[in-house]
Amino acid sequence: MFLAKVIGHVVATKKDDKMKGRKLLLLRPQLVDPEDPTKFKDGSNTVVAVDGMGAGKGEMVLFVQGSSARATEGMKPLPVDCAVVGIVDTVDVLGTQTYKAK
Amino acid sequence: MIRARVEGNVVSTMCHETMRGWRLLICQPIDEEDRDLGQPVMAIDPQGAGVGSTIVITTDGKGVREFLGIDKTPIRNMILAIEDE
Amino acid sequence: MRFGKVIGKVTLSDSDPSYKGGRFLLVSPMDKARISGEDLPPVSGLPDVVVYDNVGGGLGDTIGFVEGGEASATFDQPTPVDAFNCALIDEISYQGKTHSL
Repeated sequence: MFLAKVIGHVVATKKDDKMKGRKLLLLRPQLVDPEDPTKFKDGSNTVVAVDGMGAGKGEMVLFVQGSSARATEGMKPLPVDCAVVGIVDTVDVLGTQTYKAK
Repeated sequence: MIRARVEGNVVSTMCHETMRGWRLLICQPIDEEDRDLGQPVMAIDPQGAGVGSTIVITTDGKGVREFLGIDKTPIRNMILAIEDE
Repeated sequence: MRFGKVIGKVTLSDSDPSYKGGRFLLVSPMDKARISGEDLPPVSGLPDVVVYDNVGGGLGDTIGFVEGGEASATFDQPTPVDAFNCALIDEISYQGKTHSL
């Protein structure tokens, strides 16, 4: 799994039937900065993840990829390869709390 | 499968139950010219490979599950063959 | 199975119902220099992974973790895990040198 910030969502009217009513979020992975481990830096890619947790823009989430994405609650029938599996409350790096949800 | 060079081994007492009793070798994946490709991985070894030998590892869990006869194992790297010197 | 250094942990306020009692370790994948025991900062620069843990890993531990489909193989119910802590490493013998962890 990886940490990511929700940076937006995808609006798609024309889509696979099974995806109707499903929220698709745009995520930017958050990586620990080796130069300053108390901070995160943006990963270089943007990921689209299906979300059943109700995450909002700006929140930090945990996402899973690959075949395991379909094991997320309610996602079994969906042809997805990426899903949000948790809303992050805290992140501790090397003994320091580097993130706390508002 | 991938080619790799055996560069060491690890000892682990607290590990998943399906790994207990297996030699765990540190294997460096290599290309056809024996150059390093990425980071070392750990593989279980039923073949008895020694440090320095070049081996072939499977990276597919299904083959490992069939070999071990266990469904619920996280192991996916296993030494299949040792290259002749 | 890759080498990882536990650099921290993640807690969730809301999560998939199938995560029962598991913890989430923040892990920095180890490169050759770190595997051989060189005294380097624990954050390697390789993208850090959040690894599901029920073996009992803690800050500073060296672990063996698997990624992909096999990461969810040990669970009784389908569980959305793509990185799983398989082993706490006690000792590494690498390129002729042995060191305990």
